[in-house]
Amino acid sequence: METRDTNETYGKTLLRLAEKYPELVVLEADLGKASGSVPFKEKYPERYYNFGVAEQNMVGFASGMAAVGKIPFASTFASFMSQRALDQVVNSVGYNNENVKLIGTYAGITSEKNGGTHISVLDIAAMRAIPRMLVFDPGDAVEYEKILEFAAGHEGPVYIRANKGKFPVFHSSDYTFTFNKAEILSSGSDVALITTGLTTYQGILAVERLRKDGISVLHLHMPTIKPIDKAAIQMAMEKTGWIVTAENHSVINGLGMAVCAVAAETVPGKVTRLGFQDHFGETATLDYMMHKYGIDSDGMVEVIRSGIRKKGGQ
Amino acid sequence: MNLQEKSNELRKDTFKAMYASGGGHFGGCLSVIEILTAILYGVMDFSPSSLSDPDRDRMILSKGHAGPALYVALADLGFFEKERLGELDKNGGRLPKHIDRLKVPGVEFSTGPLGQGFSAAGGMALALKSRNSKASVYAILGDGECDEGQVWETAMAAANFNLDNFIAVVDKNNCQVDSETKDVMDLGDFPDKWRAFGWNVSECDGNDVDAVLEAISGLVALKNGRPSVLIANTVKGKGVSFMEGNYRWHSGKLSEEQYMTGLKDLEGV
Repeated sequence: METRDTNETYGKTLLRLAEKYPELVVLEADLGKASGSVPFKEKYPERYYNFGVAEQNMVGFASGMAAVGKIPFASTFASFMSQRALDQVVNSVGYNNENVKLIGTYAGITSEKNGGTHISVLDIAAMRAIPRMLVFDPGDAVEYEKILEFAAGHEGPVYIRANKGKFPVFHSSDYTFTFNKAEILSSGSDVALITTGLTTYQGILAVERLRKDGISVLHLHMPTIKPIDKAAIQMAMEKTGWIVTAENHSVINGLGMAVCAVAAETVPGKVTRLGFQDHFGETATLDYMMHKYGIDSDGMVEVIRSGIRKKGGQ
Repeated sequence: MNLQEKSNELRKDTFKAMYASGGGHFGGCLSVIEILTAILYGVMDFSPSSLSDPDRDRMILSKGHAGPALYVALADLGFFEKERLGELDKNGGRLPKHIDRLKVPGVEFSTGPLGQGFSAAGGMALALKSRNSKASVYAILGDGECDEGQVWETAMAAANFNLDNFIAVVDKNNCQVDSETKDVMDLGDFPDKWRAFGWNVSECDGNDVDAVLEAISGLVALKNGRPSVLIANTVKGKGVSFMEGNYRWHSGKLSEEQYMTGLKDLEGV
């Protein structure tokens, strides 16, 4: 399967959006190399602003620029955006309802060897709790591009996670992203698997392996985490009675908890949450952490196999 | 009515509105009056109709707790009916203590968490300058607010981006919530700090409206590629005898007797 670099996708997409949106500006806090915005800087130096290592100020300036009609795309590591600059994101962007697009790069364990201080364990949790904020975790580069495009055209605060590195592209180039709609990647009735971002491709692999075991999985990819597609979650629970969620984030207040809340309010049933089980990240490779934290295909297969065995009384 | 008379009137109305609301940040609302008057009535061409002009000057009250003083000025300038001042801090009211751009016409940016209005004002100045607008952006800060690191991040960025359309005014009343600023967090050589960050610096008596107006006008005219700051030396609780210079009146509630004393002080001006 083709792989694409998230970083390159950001740069290319910004160049494309820059023509369509003359008010689009790009803001960085000394991590333009990480986000991939450098090609934009080269083509549109007058629309590119570097704030140095000052994330709070970058977000504050972004809100002011938006207040006079600009469409700022501001990026920094997901951990810094959601922690260091959180008060500015809440008040200057959210409370003021400014048209700012926040890109959280090196999301979750894709920060890899930068280690525990840089691995965002709570960015979805924090961003999801901010009124007016939309939250996205794209599954691949094609979808990232579509979500960036959606964000540029949407009036209001947006947070988008961006993973570091090259990842398999499972969407075709003519894929249509639909806001607040889960994408059904496979239908099934034994269990539902709901994934987002990094975990979706792992989910695709897991579903394939489980199919060989005779286990049919309803697999939903949930790129829009806030708001969340309630109807899809309800349907998944009605159909299977058991939802497994997997995310590159703490299991506290991320995708899994959002799914739990919808299930509890609609069709109660069992939810198993895969993700960081209330621990920080560490200095390690992505594969190592995905496996250790149980969010790779192995982790999903194991949990689902053992759950189905129990379900069947074996 | 000259600008000082206007200031006196706004100060009295602010005091009345805050008493009626049950109390608030008297100290900083009363100290900032001449600064607001000079900017809104003297420097800017500020009226409800100006809001539709994308190239209008902007005033950001970064010390958002001085909302009541701004509201009194906005009502006076016709942004909303004066009766609305009775809704200050009221449940379901349309005048929240800390200024709110989505609720109050004339408020350009919602503030309260200190330092944030200053960054946002910098962003406005940057965006306006990038499209060669002639507009200026005025940000009013408290001196206690300058404890915030974000203030200095903004100061550094504004100089870096050569924002000579950006004017900060510090309402330096030397008090903050817990005590006098020198006892809580000494600002040290305050003007030199700004100079070191690359700003034009001016100082004046911040409760003399003509002096404030003259100083700001001088800074606006500079246009030398640097942002400018006016350190306006004010008196906390200005005009009310028992509040003047007393940090304990950063915020509080008034007894009826205190209210009558204050009113007498303000009417005697």
